[in-house]
Amino acid sequence: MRLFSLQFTLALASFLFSGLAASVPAPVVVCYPGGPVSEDDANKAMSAMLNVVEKVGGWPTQSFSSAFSSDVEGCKILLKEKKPAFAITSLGIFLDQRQSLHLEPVVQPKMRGGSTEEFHLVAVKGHFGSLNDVKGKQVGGTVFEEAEFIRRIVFAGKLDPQKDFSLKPSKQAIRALRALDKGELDAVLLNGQQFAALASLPLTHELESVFTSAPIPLMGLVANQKASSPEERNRFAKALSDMCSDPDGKKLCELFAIDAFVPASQAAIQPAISLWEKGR
Amino acid sequence: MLKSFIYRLSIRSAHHPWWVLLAASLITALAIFASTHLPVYTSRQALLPQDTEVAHRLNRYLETFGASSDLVVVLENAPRPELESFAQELASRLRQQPEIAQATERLDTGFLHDHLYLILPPEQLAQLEQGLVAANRMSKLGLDTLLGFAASAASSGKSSGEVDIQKALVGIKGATAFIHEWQRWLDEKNAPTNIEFDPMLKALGAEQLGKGYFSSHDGKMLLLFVHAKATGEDFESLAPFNQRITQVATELSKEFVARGLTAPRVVLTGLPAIEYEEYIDIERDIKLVIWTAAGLIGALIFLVVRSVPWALAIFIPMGLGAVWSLGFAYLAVGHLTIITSSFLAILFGLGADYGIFTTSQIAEARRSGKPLIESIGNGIRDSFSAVLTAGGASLLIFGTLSTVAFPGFAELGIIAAGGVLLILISTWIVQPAIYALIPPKIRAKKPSTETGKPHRRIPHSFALVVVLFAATAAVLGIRSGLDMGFDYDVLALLPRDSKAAEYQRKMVTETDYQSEIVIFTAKSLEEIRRITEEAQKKPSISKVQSISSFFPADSEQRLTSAHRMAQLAMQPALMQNLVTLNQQGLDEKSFKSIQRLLQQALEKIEGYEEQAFSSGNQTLVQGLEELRSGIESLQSSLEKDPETARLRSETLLRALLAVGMEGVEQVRDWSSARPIAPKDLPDGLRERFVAGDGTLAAYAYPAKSVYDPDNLDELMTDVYEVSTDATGFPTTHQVFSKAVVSSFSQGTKAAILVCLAWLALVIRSPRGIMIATLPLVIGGGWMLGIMKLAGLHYNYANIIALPLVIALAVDYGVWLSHRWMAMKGEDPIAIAKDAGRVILLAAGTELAGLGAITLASYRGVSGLGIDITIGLMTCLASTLFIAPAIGLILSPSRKK
Repeated sequence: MRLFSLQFTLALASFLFSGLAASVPAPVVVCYPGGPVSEDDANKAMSAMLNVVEKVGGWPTQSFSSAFSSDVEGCKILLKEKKPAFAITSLGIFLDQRQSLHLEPVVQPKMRGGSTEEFHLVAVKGHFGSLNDVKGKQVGGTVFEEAEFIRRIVFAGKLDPQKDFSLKPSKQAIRALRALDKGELDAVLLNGQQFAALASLPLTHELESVFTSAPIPLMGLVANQKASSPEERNRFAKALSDMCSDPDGKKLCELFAIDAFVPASQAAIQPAISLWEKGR
Repeated sequence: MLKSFIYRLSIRSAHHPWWVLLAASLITALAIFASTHLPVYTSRQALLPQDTEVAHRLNRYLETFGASSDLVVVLENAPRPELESFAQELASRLRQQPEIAQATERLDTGFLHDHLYLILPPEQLAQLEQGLVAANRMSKLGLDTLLGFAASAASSGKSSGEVDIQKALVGIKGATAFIHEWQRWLDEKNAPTNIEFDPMLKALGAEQLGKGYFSSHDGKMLLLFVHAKATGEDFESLAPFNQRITQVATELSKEFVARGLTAPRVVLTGLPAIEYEEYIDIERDIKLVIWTAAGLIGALIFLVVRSVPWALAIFIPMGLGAVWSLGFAYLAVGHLTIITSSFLAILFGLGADYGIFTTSQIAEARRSGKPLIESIGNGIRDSFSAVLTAGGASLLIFGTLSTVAFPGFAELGIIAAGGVLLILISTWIVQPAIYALIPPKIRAKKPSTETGKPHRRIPHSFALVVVLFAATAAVLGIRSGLDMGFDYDVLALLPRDSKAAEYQRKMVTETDYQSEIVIFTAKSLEEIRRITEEAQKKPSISKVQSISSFFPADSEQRLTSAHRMAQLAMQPALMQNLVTLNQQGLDEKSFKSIQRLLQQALEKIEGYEEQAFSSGNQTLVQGLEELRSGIESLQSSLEKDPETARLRSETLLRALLAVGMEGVEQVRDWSSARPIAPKDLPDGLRERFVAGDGTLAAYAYPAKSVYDPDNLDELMTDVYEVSTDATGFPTTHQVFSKAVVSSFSQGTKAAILVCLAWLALVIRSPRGIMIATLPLVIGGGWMLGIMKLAGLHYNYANIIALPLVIALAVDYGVWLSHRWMAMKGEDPIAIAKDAGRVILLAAGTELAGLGAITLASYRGVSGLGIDITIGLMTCLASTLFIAPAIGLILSPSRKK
């Protein structure tokens, strides 16, 4: 009898939870500062991804909804307003909001065999001998949307892009590179993904890296420790880890050049946290 | 006892030379008669064991379908229309030739188009039906309306939401191909009249719906697949097949030139062409080697001994023994193969040694003042131990090789071992007779200029250092030899300038076709359907040709759908809309709308490219960049001369509408669609895919070269997951290539051990054994070390080099050991000088004989020559310079 009532209670709770989830989708805030993607396109891709996560994680459909922003301030507002249990953010946003929103990294993407990336300041081959030679020159790139992150983490506090460069930020990395090719810019700062795709772009001049950052952890899913339970975090992490082996999830992973999602390594992220704190 | 028997035998032979020569001539005549009836099996199959599962499977297929590999005719270096016309005409002429069963230059597109409802993917069929429904609903559809729809779709900012990168890429490539085609309509001097659909269909992965020509990825090379009527893979089948194709292609080329057209370059490749070329090369090389070897050996012997009778005394017994070997081959094996047909060259290199050793000993006896006959007997007797030891070692090495599992090598072992034995017999019996008949003049030994002078002393420590250094180098060489990789690439054995090999590689890199195909067979349509579906998913397979697409599992539903679509296509509104669009053409307003639409598309594409770039997706960026630059280039052409561009674009539009109308007509014909059976297939398809007993075949083209063992293993794992009954060259090659290497390396190790055991058994004296064997071991080690340093690899041809070098070079150490024991009390330098002259002459004949192989154009053969030359040189150096030092260490008393 007791066993029956326990099963009944669990079933009822599950039914109520699924009903609630179906009626009020939990928001997942997605921040892609400097990204060229439109809100509509991003939400479509995110919706496809969340559908897979729901399927793989065993949640009812429409359990999650996405809220997207491609600028830093817009993202901060979304995080404050929506108070999401889970968010997909850049490392810069995570570091900035980590303490105030009690953020904890859950999973990291694995791209091109690793969970770190290097930023590259590229220029036409032979134009500059060192990073110092670029000081005072016109530098472009989408990543300057997070100027503080670039100063503290990418340049490790040794250079302030806003003071040391004449910044020409843009939302379009290819346009910036074409401007570099035409001589309208002196250098462009690229993140790891952009640098990886550089070879596929036909440019008239050969480019080279004037500066390469230390390996920087890739950021994936973060969770608000107060708004989510450890079980929920584990479940979400497991769902994302399984995503790239799901037939539908695999297509998304291929689209974003992600090999897999792996549990976030606190040890790998800690140096970035220390560097961020040091740069205050 | 054996010595005295040989002594008596040689004395008798010398006493009755004419009887001996008569008997030898009779045996030779019989051997020549046998050799004329000795067939040469020229197929690779003849080298391989037939009692294996893979061989049985291949033979079953051959019995059912005929030849397993297609010859591929490659056409290039001509404009595409001329390539197509040449391909079509050549295939048509080839089909009429008696040696040719099939010649296919393209798929039967007419049959494909007529049965499109059977082969289109279900979602595309559904889209087609939806499109027909929608088109019927729109009455009086004008171009402005269509452009309006497109513009609003583009400006809405709504993306397709497509997340499947492969589907997205197909769409991008299709759009790019269409933009390029549009550009072609603007660029060509005279307005084109026909749309080139092939690049667009290829981009969309539906090339079978185009003209269907088999082509390279860039379309600059066309391929014809030619299937022989004869099932055999021997030269007698391959030669007329290859020659006929060459003849027909040459005649057609001449006709093309006479017609003022560009005749394409024609190259034959694929397994039948390679095997044919291989046979021609090897045959030519063997002839070259045998005659060069015979000439060089004869010349060398004559130059060194400066006496025709002496040269004949060495050469004739060797030559007779070699001819007798052919008779032995007839009795023992019954045939020759492309490997065993080269054994004469080996015997020429090896056989002269025995005659050199015996004649040098006879000469020594004559110099001591003994009568001729007694000198002959003494010479034969005194050299008997050395000749028997050396000859016995070679015989045992080849005898051991005859135990390996592979017929190709085992037969070589049997014939070469028999050959060595017969040359030994000939040397012991025929040489005394010849020597007695035409005794060479013996020059008195020149008194040594060093007589009376004390011999130079060789410090013991120096000898020790030399031996240690040599042994260390040999150990390092043997170790590096064990690590030396094996090159499984059969194509690398062909001549450097081999077109068949060059184009075979091109087939792998520039096309989706290789002639080394995997063949699946099945007894039912269900089974061939399953095989085709599963094989197409395997990454190691680039393409699968099958008839299963004509027999889908849902054929009933497809027929119903085809009938529905035929009804829709018969509605007058659809055709009327197309006619109206054709009548309207492309006015200035519409042209401007198209230009605006292109600009909108460009902006969209740039956005997507940025997204792909920021995701690090190189493939997408490349595809989008090509599309973007194509649109930019088109825009500039449209703006450059707007009126001409408008007129050309209008012509293109009308051509597209004409194709659309043809399509509608074709769909109307689907009203009579009915189920088909394999017997309803056109002849070309049926002959290739359906056997007389109803067995069905599907052909899978490997994605990577099958001559790389890793690729081959990956392919075969995938293939056997699909069907364990698969056959074709890759299946046999996988099994045989590995078994060849393993069984041959085991055979080589066994041969070395047997050789060393034989030397120990015969020589018995520990010092003699060391002097006889160590030069061989050290020289062999150096050989392997030099091969490694020179960047050489083992391959199917040179794998035989090590046992051959042992069989050839064992004589040097044996002779030195023999003289060492005989010249007791002499110092090492004197012994080395005495034995060195004979050894140098023996090595010289071997180098002249087998070294001549390096002249061969077939790289498998010339590479073997290089390896043997290295081995003979190292063993010679080791015998002349290291063996005396070893002797000195072992016999310090000789250190005068």
